Amino acid sequence: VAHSSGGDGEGSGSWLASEAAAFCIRFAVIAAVAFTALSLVTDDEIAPYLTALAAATADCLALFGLDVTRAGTLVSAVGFTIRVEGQCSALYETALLGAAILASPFPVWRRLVGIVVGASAILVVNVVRIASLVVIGGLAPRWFTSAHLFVWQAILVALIASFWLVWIDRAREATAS
Amino acid sequence: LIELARRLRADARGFALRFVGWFACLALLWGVLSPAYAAVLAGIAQVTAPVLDPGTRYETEGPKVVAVRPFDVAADGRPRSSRQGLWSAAVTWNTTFLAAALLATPGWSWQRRWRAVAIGAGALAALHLTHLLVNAGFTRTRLPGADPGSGALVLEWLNGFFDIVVATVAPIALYAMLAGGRAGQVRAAAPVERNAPCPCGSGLKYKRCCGA
Repeated sequence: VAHSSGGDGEGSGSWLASEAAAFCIRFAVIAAVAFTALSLVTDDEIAPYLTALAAATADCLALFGLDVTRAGTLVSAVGFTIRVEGQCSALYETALLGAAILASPFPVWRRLVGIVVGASAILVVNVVRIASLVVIGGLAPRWFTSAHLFVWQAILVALIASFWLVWIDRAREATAS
Repeated sequence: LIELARRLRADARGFALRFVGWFACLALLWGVLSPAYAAVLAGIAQVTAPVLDPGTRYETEGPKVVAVRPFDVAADGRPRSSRQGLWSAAVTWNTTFLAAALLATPGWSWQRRWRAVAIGAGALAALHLTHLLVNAGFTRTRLPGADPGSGALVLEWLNGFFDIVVATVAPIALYAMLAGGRAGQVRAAAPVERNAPCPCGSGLKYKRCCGA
């Protein structure tokens, strides 16, 4: 860490290179295992989680005074109904962040705290995402696909990258001190 | 990456505002250009078709690339074709994302930013083309009456890999390489005074930013 903050020396460069390579390998392995495991999970196996996600989405919409109806994983409001499926669960995004944090060279307990905080943040943002998609689907249906597959995907990944960058910076400072 | 994180954190608000602004502008531009982008990818894919996907014609439907494949002959002797969607530029957000992040990066000249955007967009275009060709191979195994063969499972796995991993990881990895790698570092041409503005362009004093 001391080398990384400073210079252009030969040792610093090789240290960074080897550390970066080690991070990339760890990240690739963890992400590959996590994504492969998630690809084997069916919607039926995570049905309770999806139902809870739908319930949280309905509660979020009700907070804004909307008339919401929920049945299982179906959520209806402003004349639009969505089904909360496995792809809406943000589990892949959580796995991505988890892999990036686990691959980072910091103490185990700090990484675990990072994963718990990061996963909680993604969960909250995902509920807001699904709730906003219900509203967009009802009020501006022609923008639904763009919001769903373009804007919100970019926002989620931007938040994951931002969270990770802030986390490694703070973890580095804390570790150094 | 730690250096990159520090640079971005020193100007986090400015970076976020510039990123959102660029992303909105570029998303609108992408909406206009996506049919042309899809047509270019379909044209390049068509060149590879005689070898990789014989008999297939790649066409575009707005921002979507579809594969038109004859798979059967009707009773009246006319060939029956299937139209299978392969790839859509309309939902491809990662080029816009990467370009917005690179253009919002502090401390770079405009020439350097646009050069990084060109490199990043080129790398993503290569990934998009590869994804399209993988999906072409995958959808070919799903034609009515087709014999999937042993390669179908590999193609299915590869298609899922591109769908999820590359689409999500690629823009972050490319940004980290372009902005956080050795070439992306902001270095002073001469020693910087501790109280002088930081050369990374954050607006902070050098001692409170890169010189901390």
